[in-house]
Amino acid sequence: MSTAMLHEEAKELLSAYLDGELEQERRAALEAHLGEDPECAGELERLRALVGALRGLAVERPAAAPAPEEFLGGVQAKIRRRTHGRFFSDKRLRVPWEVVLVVVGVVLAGMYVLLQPGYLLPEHKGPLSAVPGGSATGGGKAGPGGGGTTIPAPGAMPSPPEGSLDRAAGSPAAPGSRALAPVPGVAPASSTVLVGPAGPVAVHIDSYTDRTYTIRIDVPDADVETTRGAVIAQLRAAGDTRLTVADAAGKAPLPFAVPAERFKALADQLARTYKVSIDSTPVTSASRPAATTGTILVE
Amino acid sequence: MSDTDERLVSRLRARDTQAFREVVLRYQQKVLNLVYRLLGNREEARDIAQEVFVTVFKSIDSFRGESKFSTWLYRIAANHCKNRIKYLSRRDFHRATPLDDEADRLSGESGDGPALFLQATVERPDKMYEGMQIQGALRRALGELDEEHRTLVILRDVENLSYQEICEITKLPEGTVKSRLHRARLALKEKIDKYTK
Repeated sequence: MSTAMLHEEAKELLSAYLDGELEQERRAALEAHLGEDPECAGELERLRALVGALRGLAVERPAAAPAPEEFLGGVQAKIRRRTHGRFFSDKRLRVPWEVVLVVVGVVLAGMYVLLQPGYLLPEHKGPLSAVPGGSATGGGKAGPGGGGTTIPAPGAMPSPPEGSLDRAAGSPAAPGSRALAPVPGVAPASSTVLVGPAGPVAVHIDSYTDRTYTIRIDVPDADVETTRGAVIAQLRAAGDTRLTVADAAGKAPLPFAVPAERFKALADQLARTYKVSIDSTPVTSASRPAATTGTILVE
Repeated sequence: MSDTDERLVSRLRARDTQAFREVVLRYQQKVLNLVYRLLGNREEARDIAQEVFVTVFKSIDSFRGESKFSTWLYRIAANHCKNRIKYLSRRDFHRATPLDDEADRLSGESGDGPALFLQATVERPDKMYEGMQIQGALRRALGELDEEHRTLVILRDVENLSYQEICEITKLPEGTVKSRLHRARLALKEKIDKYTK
């Protein structure tokens, strides 16, 4: 390597040499050259002085920080804004989402308990008491009428006669399959809201006693006949020949007798009809004897 | 990465806001200094330094621990500065004035004294960089370097980072860092010579 080449090469290596980044062989060659080339040696010293001066800047604090909490507060505020308050929100206002979930859960559980029959909702035992022992009796005439709209008081409801179902149900092709679609997200354990041809339809186990269960189907006025027909048709399809229908003059109860072993099947049948799940848990609860009779109330 | 940094990173990944607080308090001065040296404007530096920590909070999951946490932090800071300089250059932002003010303040008028600077104890001709008058020129010259040269000089000669760390921060190969750092120093020396003559 000529002296001129070494001079140019040496100049390129001065920074790495200053930083101790040259491997031993090249460092030795450069040091030998520096001993012979005053220009390179001078350049090295100027670079060394420059680097020394720059290192001196390191002890400065040129950008004196604001008060630590002030700077931190600024950073947190930026994050708070960009996460829409998910992080670093004002603790006085922030409610952890876990707490919100617990509160909502407690409220929902409380509502569920309060809405159970025997709490806030009345138990309609009267009509059932007139339907003893799995065999409905009574003398009401079948079919929808055009009068009363209230649920009869206990004992006031005449038991329907056997065989009155046919008159009440009309055609077996009653439109149980007409579009009764469930309303998404509204399905308490024993109360189900559906959408019938004329609006929302609520199907729920209204009350129960030791021996009887009342299933109530709340429908708009315009939907009464459709629903009544659909329910009766389904009950008939379920093979419950003991089902009877009272003359209720319109929105009257439709008492029917259903053996305990049939109740679950009936609930399932209704569920299929309305494409929803009817919780029949209370029916089979160990704390309650199974039902032997039931009543459908069409309001 | 020190154990403490490792623990902090682990807690940060779990979105532990207290850990984030500790990170900010621990590194804010270093980040502020670096960003100010790269940008030359206090207000810009404070804003960008805060952005650096916002990015840390947001991107901690992308930190794989292959480098020191501080190196990763510096990389974020350098990238923010690079983007900011591009943005400001499009808006014809001039960084010189604040640096001049700072240089004047530090050149003795504030009474900080010369002992703060120029640790080099060199023989002639090194004395050309000795004395308070050179400090303002040094900062001004740094401000005139292009962004890449300035970043390399500051990372190496002011922040005293290793070549390996600089490679991790800049994502440049080591050979490129060596050659560009040398060019940067020569360019800086040339500018200082202009001011001191």
